Amino acid sequence: MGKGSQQGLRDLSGVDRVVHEPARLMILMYLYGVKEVDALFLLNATELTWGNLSSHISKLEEAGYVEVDKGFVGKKPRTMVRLTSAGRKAVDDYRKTMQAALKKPRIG
Amino acid sequence: MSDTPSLSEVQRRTVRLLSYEDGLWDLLLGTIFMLLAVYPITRARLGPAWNMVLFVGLLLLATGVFSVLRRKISAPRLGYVKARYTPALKGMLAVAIALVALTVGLVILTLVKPGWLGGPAPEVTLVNVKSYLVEILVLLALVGLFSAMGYLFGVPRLFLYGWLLGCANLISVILYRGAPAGFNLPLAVAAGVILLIGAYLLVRMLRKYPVQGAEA
Repeated sequence: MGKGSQQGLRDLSGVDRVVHEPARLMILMYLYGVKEVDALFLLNATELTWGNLSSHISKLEEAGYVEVDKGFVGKKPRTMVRLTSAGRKAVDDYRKTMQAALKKPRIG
Repeated sequence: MSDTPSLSEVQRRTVRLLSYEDGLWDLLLGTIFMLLAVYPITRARLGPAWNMVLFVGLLLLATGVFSVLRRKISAPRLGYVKARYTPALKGMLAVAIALVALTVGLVILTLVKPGWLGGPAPEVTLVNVKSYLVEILVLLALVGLFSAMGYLFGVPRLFLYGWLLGCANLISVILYRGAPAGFNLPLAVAAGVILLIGAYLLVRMLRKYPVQGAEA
């Protein structure tokens, strides 16, 4: 194993665990391609329960990866969620790390 | 998700969920082509100019009604998304709008004025295939446009729509030897199939996504 691949594996151990969790990664992926979405869209798209979704959004908000705006449309509450620039960078970094780590070997 | 998880697949799924899940797009498309099917009847009664006014008016009305339906029926069930208009997305939208306008224009031209590239439609024989070049090009344009959209957004039924509308247009020109004087049956059948699919999808969406009482 060369020095480069050892460094790659060390990078993998330091992968962002907030992003690494599958449900949160799914939420971040949906947010990555849009400006903002409401929680209802995320609920339908990810097929999580309200409780799970709410808990994961809170964790992402604590990490500074998403911004949450609670408002009303008429009399109905609507929670809008958007990716922050830190969140966008976290997804990009995570993608680079995983792509490098899971690159197919040349032999075998 | 059964598809390979990737950012591009997630984007496709977002478009699918918001644009094609509720069947309203299909209902609008079916309505437009149903209007084109009755176009010859109203044209005979109103004349070309007033008929065009009526057609454009009904088209705008239908678009308005379906926008309101989407806001009132689909958005409370499927959710709300604000798009991020990157330069690539803006370019894609511009190309899509231009292609749709071009195709609708070609369909209208072949239906209303088939001799726009020279004389009425000739008899159907194998030798005369070249005479239907414009109609065949319209068919290919429709198939190409709908197939591209179907492939891009992962919506297989759009392939069917392309063939349905393209063949209906070609058959109607052959059947009526040029401009149909009355009801355009092939186009109406194609539009009817699309309307039925749209109605089925709308009912499925209403059942699958009930209005949520309150957010957590």
